[in-house]
Amino acid sequence: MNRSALLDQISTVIADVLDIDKPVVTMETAAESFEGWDSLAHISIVGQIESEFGVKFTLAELAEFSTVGDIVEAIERKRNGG
Amino acid sequence: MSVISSSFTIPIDPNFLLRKKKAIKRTLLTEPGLLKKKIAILGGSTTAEIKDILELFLLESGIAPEFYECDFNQYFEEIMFENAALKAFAPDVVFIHTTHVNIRNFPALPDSEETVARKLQDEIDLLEAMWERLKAEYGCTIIQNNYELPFARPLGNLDFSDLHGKTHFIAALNQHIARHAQENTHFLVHDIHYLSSWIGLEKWHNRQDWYAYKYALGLDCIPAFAQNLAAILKALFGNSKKALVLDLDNTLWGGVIGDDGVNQIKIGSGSALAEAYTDFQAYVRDLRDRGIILTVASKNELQNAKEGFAHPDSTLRFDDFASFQANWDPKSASIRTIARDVNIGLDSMVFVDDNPAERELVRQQVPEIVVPEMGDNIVQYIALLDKSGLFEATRISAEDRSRHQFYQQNATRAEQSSQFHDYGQYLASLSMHAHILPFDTANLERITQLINKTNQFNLTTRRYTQAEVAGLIDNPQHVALHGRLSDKFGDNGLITAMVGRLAADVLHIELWIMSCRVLKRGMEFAMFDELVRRASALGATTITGAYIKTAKNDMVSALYRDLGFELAGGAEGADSHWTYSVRPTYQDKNSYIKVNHES
Repeated sequence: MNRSALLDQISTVIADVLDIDKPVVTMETAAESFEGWDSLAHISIVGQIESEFGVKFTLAELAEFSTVGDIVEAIERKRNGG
Repeated sequence: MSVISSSFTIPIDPNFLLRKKKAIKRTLLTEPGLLKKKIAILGGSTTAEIKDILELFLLESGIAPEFYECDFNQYFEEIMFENAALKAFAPDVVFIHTTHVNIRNFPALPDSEETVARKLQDEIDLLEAMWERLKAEYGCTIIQNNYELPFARPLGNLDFSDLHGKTHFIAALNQHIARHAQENTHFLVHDIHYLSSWIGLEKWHNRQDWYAYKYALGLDCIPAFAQNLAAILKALFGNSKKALVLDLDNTLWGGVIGDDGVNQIKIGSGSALAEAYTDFQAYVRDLRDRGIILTVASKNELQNAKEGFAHPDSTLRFDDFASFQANWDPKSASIRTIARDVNIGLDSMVFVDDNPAERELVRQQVPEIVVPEMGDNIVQYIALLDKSGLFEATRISAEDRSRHQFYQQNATRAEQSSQFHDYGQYLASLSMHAHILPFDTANLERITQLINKTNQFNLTTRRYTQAEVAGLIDNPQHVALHGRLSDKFGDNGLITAMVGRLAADVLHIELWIMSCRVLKRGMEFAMFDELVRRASALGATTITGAYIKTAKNDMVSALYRDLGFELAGGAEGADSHWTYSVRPTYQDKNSYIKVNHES
């Protein structure tokens, strides 16, 4: 799956969790940058991304997520068996 | 099926709820007539997601919760110290979300037997201090988790039997919590010991969610947790289900009785399949024994359908069912007939059928009824109903245990009534006796239960906690009466209550309820006579009452008019106020029931 498809899927998850229209999401989009994306919603978004992509982030990865790009790269690493 | 009803179809899809919670909440909040309740969540670990998902389950059942949430792990301090905010919030319920991470005095290996015993007592003292303080300060219902099994067992299998084992220690604590619940009706246990085992401890003890967010259970376990907790709250506020509507072929036995004949249906111990159906029947019978009303809606010839229960291996018998509809009508029609027969609302019923087409039709045509997605494998049926929480109760009363007898007697009464041309003649033939007495401690529990579960014959739908009901005993400002009714077919038990508040020479009726088991027997007249008698003795010259309309209490919208009240505000059939002048020449309105006013 290429990056833009992956970003689109993440945008859908964010829209569902925050109950908003699908936002434009780039690698640079900062986590907690939308209205409603607070620390509680962040937990839900990360959890839903895990079930959406069938991956589990490590405790170390969770602590490092500051942009959507960090999440995308973590998903890619897991998919490439990294 | 709408998005909303499908999100709560049993079995629930936990991930869907977690993902769509905001949209679901937004839609649910548009439902009219939500019952407002205040719930304080006092946690020993993070509770945010628990609160959000719990709210969905409550909204879905018509309860709009207002929450108070304490700061992280501040449950003990919030309870034990002066707490103006919680006091001002005035909770209906306090939920204490404690888990094994909140146990402060686990034994250590060097501890002597005495030290372990002291640690257990210290832990119990902490719990009891909270319970006492809550009771004294807030007087509300308390719900608290028991303790789940620990994450790790440093002692291995010995953890269970060795005095120093966490598992051993938790078992002792849980036993104490159970005893406290047995002795205190305002204290209810949320059984996470069972729930966590059922879900699986490996999934429950998600260490990542603990370290990252301080959740004491995996986030994906929260929907099941909230469903289980909501079941207790729904039971507390009178929203539990009361009746099961059952299909027969391939639901209560294997095979189609009309085609296969009674000797060929799968029931008993002849095969794996037969055993599974027998176990399901036994489970349904257990539900009956604790007060759930059983009924049948089957597409069958009546004779064939009845014959299935004459099978020597059938656990259920024909007379276990309060209403038995076997015909070729649409099941929605049978369900409506059943609702009329047993006098309960469609939204108090659960429909169980193996046929997906029937389930879908019933969902469309009777949207109020709950239709679990049973699937087509009998092996799943018990678990589906058992984990649904639909039939949750806060207590099982003696009335619950003998409920099926009332319905059997009601069937006999109905048979008899058809032999009379005149309804009065029929009522006279019942030889009815009533006991109408002031509220007393002995009946406290049953009165509270009845108040909180009665929806149809209920003028104000005002709910009372047990503490509030207790406050009405021997209270000189109130006339609080309960009534029992028996007849030649049997005792109906305690089936009605009313509360009037005296202010100068006016008695205002704040509550008037009657069980649907005894409708149209004239018991309301006997109650009113007694109220008038006692009100007059206290010097009241006027009685006032209100009808507060709900989706379910239309049957009493004209009650005050029928009793001779005059409309004082509002309009008949809508929210309205009524007034009645008590004359010295008052004539009893009841003529068919012999009333005993003395205990």
